[in-house]
Amino acid sequence: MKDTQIIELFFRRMGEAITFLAEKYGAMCRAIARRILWDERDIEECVNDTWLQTWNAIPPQRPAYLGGFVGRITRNLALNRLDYNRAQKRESTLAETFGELDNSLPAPGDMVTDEVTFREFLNRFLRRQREEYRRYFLRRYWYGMSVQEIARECVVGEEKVKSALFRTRNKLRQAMEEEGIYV
Amino acid sequence: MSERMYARFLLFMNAVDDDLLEEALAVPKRKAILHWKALTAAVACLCVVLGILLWQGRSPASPESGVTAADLAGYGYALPLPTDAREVLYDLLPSPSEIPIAQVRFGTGGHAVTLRAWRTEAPQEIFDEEIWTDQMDWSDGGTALSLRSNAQTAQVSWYADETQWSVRSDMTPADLLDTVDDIFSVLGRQLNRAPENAQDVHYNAFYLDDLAVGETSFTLDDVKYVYRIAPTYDTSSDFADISGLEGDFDRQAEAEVGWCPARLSWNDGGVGKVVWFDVVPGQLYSLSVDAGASQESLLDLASQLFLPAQDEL
Repeated sequence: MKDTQIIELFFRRMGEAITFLAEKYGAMCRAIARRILWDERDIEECVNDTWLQTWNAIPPQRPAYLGGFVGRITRNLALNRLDYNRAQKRESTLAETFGELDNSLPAPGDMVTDEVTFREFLNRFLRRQREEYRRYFLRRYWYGMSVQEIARECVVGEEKVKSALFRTRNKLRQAMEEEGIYV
Repeated sequence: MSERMYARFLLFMNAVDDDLLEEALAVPKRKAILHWKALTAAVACLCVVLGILLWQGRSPASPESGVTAADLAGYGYALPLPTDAREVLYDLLPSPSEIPIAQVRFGTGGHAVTLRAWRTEAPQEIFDEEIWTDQMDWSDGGTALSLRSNAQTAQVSWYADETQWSVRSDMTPADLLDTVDDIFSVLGRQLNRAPENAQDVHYNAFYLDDLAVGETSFTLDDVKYVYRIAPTYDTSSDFADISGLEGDFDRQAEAEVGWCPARLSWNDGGVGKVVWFDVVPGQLYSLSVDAGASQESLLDLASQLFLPAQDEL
């Protein structure tokens, strides 16, 4: 079923909307949650909460890309739950992947940039990048996808993805240094 | 992860705007076939390049002569040739960088083929601009490839190991892909997915219902098989059938190939197909056979051919 048809069912408040949504994007949302969490019950709860949040959000919202919309919700829910699970001292795939980005950025300084300024800086930086490179960058470091997964889903070579990630990491470091952003 | 690093992790994770996070998961759009602005820009660039080359007194159509494979090796090039290549002629062409473009021209099957390679940090166009009527981009074996063609010429390009490769010929696109498949074999890469003892192996790529399909056809024990793979972002349980084999079948069944759900349709001893779907990371598969089908034979060969994508992760 097409995204527009599923969204139409949400607008008509028909319960089948969630059935079709889960059928089409359930596996993708589980994969996203699994890169952040490890307990299958937590993952399943995140995915179920995703359907609930989507039900509450549509209408009034009408997402341009339904997969991205629910994927983003799952990611945020899983991140919230990660905080509770930290006591288990296990690293998530996303946290491990973030280490790769973190290692290439300037070390935190004495003067720490506030959250609002950093958020404004980061989004401005991301919007300046080529859409294609931004897609690889966010999939890798904000969704924890492997280079192989990104290459396969975006129908490009792994070398191209690696090269784009390397360049964007360097650009981010350079931009942080130039604007004095330390976090 | 230390408390400080975890705080930094959360700061980054929660700092990106929702629209950017959603955009990142969107499926990339296919490139337009022919765009007038792009074409105008390409023609303008071509004029500039030709002007520079004429000013330098050399033409891309008249490269240096007397160049050997050893000369190419001096620049770090080892150009692979298909096993049946004839009348091999090597050249080095000027490039915008200090590293020249390596070229080899050869004949195969009555057609002329030109293979070029350029060691460069990013994908580049290394042939003269041409007006294409058909184009396709797909990924196979971890390599992104592009196929461009018109009534006279076909060109396949790929970028791997910091080298841009491109091969152009007057062959049909399907024949050129077979030549590229041979080149890949010499490079130690894999394009076709035929079993080792298969004969009459051919590789092809095409769009089927907006899916970029990579196809390997082969003969095994006098039976013809067609094996197809296509990436998809649609994770519906009612996954698409990319076999291209239509019609009514006497027998149908559901099974598994590896851990993937599979659907089989066949006529006992006749034609048959099995289609399956690997949900992570989203790849459709099909194996069809033109004779001797049975549930066991289809599942057996499908299991042999199926290389789970997760093993690459």
